[in-house]
Amino acid sequence: MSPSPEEKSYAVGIDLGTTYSCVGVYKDGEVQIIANDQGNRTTLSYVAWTEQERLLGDAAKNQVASNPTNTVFDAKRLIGRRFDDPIVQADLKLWPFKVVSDGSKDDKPLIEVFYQGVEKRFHPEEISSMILTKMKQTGEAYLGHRVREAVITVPAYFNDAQRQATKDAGEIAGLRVLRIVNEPTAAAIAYGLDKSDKSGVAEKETHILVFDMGGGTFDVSVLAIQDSVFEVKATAGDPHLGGEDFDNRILSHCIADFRRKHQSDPTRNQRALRRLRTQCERAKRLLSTQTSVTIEVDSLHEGNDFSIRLSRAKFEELCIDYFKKAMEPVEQCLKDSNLPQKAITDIVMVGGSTRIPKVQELIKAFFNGKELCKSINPDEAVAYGAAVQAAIVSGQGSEDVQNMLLLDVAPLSLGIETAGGMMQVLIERNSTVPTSKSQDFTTFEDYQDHVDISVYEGERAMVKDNNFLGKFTLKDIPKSLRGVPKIQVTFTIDTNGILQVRAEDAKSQKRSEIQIANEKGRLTQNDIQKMLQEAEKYKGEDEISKGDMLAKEELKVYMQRFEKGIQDLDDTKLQREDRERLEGKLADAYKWLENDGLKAGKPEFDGKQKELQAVMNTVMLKINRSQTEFWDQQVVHHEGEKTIDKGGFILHCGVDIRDLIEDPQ
Amino acid sequence: IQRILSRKGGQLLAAGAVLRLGGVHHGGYGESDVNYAYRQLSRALHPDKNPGIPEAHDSFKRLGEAAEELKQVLAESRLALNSLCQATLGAAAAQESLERPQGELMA
Repeated sequence: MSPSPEEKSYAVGIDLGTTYSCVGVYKDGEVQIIANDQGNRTTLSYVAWTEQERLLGDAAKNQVASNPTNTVFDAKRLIGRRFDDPIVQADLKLWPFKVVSDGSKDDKPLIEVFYQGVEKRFHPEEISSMILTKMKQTGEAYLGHRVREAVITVPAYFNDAQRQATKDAGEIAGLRVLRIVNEPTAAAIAYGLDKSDKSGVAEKETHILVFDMGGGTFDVSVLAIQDSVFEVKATAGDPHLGGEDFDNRILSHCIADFRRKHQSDPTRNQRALRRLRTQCERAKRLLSTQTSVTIEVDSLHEGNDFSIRLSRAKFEELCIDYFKKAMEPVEQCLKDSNLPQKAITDIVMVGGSTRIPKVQELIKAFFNGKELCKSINPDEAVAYGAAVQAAIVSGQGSEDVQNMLLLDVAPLSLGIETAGGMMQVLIERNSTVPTSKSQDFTTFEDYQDHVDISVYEGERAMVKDNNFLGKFTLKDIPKSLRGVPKIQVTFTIDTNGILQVRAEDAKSQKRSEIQIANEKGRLTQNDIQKMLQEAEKYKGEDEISKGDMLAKEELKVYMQRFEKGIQDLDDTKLQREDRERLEGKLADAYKWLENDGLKAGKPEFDGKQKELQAVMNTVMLKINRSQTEFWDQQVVHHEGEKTIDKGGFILHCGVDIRDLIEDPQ
Repeated sequence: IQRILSRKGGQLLAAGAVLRLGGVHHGGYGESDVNYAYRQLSRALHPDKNPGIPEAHDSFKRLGEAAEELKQVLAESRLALNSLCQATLGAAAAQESLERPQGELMA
């Protein structure tokens, strides 16, 4: 990469998924989905630590069976959540890696792994940032330019803390996050572009429903599209429903079966569980096209093989409550959008899990047999849309793209706690963002000099049923009777769907404000800085470890040559004591490689190689000196050969040329 | 864009003005007209399209409110028209007249 004079930098769109991530860029008038170094257009959201190095993406999953406790996935299910969150607690039981609480009052979850023999703890944001770094590198490799800006997608139903955390992850990865976009909205762009390509620009208003069911999250959005303006009408969903849940169902079904057959319990055997899970996932995929499939794992646990036949009907029976649950948000979303069912002109299916026939069947039945739109790639649509949005926001791309506009909404109602633990909603859910709302509040008691303002999100009437976002205090209110002071509370949601709250006392003009997520679940700016440095270090470490590996390989090759060299020299040339010295050195080196070599870096390997070389050189010098005579003879012989050649030539001809020259007559 | 913004910067834009800017049918307007105007204008006023202009945020918010107001008025006049029709004709108003109720209401 040579820095061009006007350093061109692209803004990419990244679909940061629970199980898969995908990156796209808007370039030369079209969106290109970028394949990673393995040639895959989607990259697994896996990070693994081995004895030597850190692995990202596909490489991490490939070694999962041998290293289950240090292979981290599903970070998206942890991001922006508290450790004591019941959802986190439930997931914990299914993950082979260890998650602990950071012990602070925020109760953030930390992921614990062993790396190079040392225990390390990571925030889920850091894990996500590593995946983002990988996606960034994928983009850079393709574009040949630095990638500094990105649009990252999140499930539409992600709450404020989760959005913030995702944004932080981007920052740790060294990306300027231009925008956090909702996944179904991004998918709708992909659909909209696809449509307008085929049928010309649609001047008429059309309504579509996006059904986005991926690996870990589920979203439904209703959008109105008119003249390349995409307006989200309503959105609903479940931030914890997706393919992984189906895998888990199959997994527990298999475990129950194994227990019954073999009277032994494999649940404590992480390696067995991991192998079985991989097979379950494969079976689930196959069942989208086949009607039945066999799950087979040899020597799963205590030497017992495992084999089970799973039919599609059985799979549907196992997961039917999940499928049914997925229909509720669809209904909710339609209701919120104030549209009759028949107003929906197209149903767009996105995300891998929408390939499941039963899911398609159910939604088709819900819309009275309406055909579903499958013309867009369910795995890539989100990254496609994100790339377009990146082009829009960063001002790249053609006029067509510049003309497009996204109007997204806030997924949850936002409000504050009022007397009696009631929720006073300021911003209704499905309000178009950016938006702001103000409302006046007053004191509850006489001579109250401060108010606590607690911010919540959710749809329930009591705050205790809703999600607490943060709290701040407005102090020094002039003393007066209750109900007299006027405190204006303003909620502002920016285009990323991130909330800011401000309170102001009308009389004293005292102000207090928070960017909500600063308070809870979110990393402080300091944390981010620290993690940024750590990420840099890792980047360095990855490179160092690459150098280490090379040096190690070189050393090994040298040692093999060394060994062969000793064998080649026979006893006449190599004195006994020298041979012993050399062999001793070599044995030492092998031993060192086995023990200390695991932790050693490039300098150590190089040092060791030099050491061996030095020994070898002194011995060779000695051998050569004793052989000087031999080499002299060789040279003499060589010169003799030359003369013979000359004579030979004469003999061959039968005429001595020299005679002819001597006697020209 | 700058022109609209500067006009909207200080004083609040009246709901009617939004429609005028958006271009509207004579003799009334319907939901689709409001939506159309809203979208055309949001294209001009959305903060995304006006990077570096802090007023864009407020204007966009004002636009949203204006559209809401108009829809509110629309719903009310629709109700009025319906009850008027009930009283005079003894039947609910026709669908097409409900689309853009103002004209009918005046008549």
